[in-house]
Amino acid sequence: MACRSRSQRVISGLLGLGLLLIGITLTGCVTMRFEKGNIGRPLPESAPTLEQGKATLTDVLRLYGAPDQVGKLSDGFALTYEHISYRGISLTAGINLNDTVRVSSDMTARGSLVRYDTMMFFFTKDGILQNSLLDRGNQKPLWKSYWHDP
Amino acid sequence: MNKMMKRLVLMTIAVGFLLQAAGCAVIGRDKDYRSFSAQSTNQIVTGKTTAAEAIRLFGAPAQVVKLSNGNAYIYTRSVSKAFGLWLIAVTFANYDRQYDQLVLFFDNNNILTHYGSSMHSDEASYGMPF
Repeated sequence: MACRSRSQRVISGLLGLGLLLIGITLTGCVTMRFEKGNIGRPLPESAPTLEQGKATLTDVLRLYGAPDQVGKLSDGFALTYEHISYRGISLTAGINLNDTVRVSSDMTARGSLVRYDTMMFFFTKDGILQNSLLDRGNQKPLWKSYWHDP
Repeated sequence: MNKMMKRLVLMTIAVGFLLQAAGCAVIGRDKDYRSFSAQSTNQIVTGKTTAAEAIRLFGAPAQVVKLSNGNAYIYTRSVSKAFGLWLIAVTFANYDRQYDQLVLFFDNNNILTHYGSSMHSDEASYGMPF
C-alpha cells in the first residue's frame, strides 16, 4: 500500500514537472497582442463656430492654441490641428524548434488602424479666416473603417 | 494521499504561473526635448518682438514655414508614456504622446504679428490598454 502510494506520488510529481516543462517550452508560441495609442489632445466635439470673413488668426490661436502644422497656400496659409489614435492587434502561433531540429513553424496575423481627427483653418494672407473644417475620423466605427472602407 | 496530491498539483500550478508571469509588466517614458520655456511667452509682445529676440528667448525653432507675408516659427517637444502588460499569452500595450507647442508668426520685417501656445506634455499618462 505504502509502496503504491509512493510510486503514485513519484508519477504525479513527474507528470506535474512534465506539464510544467511543456508549459514553459510553449510560452510565446501562441500569443495575442493588443495595442492602443494616442497622440495629441482630443479635438472639440463640434465644428468651429468662428465666423468666416471676420474671425482672425488671433481668434483661432486664442481658442485652440498652437497648431500642429502651418502650411503655405497660394493665397494665404492654413493651420492644422490633429489628434491621432492607433489600434493594433496581432495573433501569433508557432513552435520554435531551432535548437533541436532546425525547423520552425510560425504564423502571424496582424492588423492596425490609425485614425485621424483633423481640424483645419484656412486664412487669407492677411490672417482673415476664409474657411474651416473638422473631420472626426476617430468617431467612425473601428471595425467598419478597417474592413469595409477603402 | 489525496491531500499530498492536491498540494503537489497546486504547487506545480503556482510555480508554473510564477515562471510564466516573469517580466509581466513594463512602463516607459520617452521625451523629445527642446529647451524652449513656456514662461518666456510673457516676454514677447506682438508688434514689437523681433525674430532675433524670439530666437534668443526660445532657441532654434523645430521648423520654419515661409508664408506669403512673413514666416512662422514652430517650436515643439513631446512626452510619451507607454505601459505594457503580459498575461501569459496575451499582451496589452498602450502609449500616449502629448506635445508642448509654440508657433510664432512674423511679418516680412520679422516683427511678431501673432503667436499661439499649447502646453500639454505634462498630461501624457500611463493608461490601461483596454
